[in-house]
Amino acid sequence: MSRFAPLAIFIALCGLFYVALFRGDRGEIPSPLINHPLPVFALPTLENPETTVTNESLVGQVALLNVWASWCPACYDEHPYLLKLAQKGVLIFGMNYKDKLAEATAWLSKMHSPFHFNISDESGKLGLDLGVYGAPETFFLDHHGLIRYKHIGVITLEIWRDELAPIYDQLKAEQVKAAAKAGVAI
Amino acid sequence: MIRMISALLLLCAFVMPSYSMIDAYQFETPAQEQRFFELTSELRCPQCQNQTIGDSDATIAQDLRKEVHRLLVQENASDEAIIDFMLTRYGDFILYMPRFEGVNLILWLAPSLLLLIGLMVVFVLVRNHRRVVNESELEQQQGGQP
Repeated sequence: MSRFAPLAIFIALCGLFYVALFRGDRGEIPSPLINHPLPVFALPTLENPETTVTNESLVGQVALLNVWASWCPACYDEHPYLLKLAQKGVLIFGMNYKDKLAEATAWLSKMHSPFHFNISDESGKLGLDLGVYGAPETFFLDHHGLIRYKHIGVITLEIWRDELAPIYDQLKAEQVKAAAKAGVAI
Repeated sequence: MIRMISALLLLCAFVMPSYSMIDAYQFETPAQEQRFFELTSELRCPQCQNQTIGDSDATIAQDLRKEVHRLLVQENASDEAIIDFMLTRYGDFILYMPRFEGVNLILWLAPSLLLLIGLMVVFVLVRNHRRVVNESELEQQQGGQP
């Protein structure tokens, strides 16, 4: 029996390395903000620099918060799919990250906006508080306003279908359930 | 003369790129500057994960250096407060030296544990081997007697 112990250990190690090698880690950093509310902020919108939105403005519905910038080529790639999602009724807030106002506005008017509104984070302070380290990044908010998931990189049809839609649907289901419960209570 | 000037210029060309950190930071005390360099060499750049924020030229590393400097000089924050600031935003990944708690304990304790197991295996093997040798010696002695 003990004669086979080295072989067993060898096979176990191979298994471990195999799993570690192919577990699909894309060098993403897990966010410590998961299950926490958005950081406190008060910033102008891109659409109207006179108005100020705060973290409270994003609370109440299941929504996506998409971090983008006109200098980010990958944001350009994911834009058409965001438009499709918005058409399907997904509520998307934008956060324009460390961008120039004129370039960001030009980008939006040329490519159309899937965003309900855009938070203008010109200084990158909100980005820092959110732990943003590259664009695009997308935060999933539940109806309590908690960050429930963070996706780093572009959203494509495949990624949405396979990874993100189940998360979004679950958050939606939670909201419906909570609403039904409140309805019963009334 | 021209040759000397061009030689000097050539020298400049070699000297200039040796500054990897081009931001000019002002410090109030040399101790503060020292802490800045220590902190920026302990924090990992989230985008280029094998470099410290002090080493990297990535935009995010520049931003984080700026933030460390702001916290140090303007807010007079302690080292712990600055590390904590980064931890709440970027998580454990930002630290080159993992904290001694939670899941990280595996990282810290596994090597000593494996060493201990190895020593135990060697100990058992040696003891078994010795017993076999002793027995065979005994047999030889017994076999040698008429």
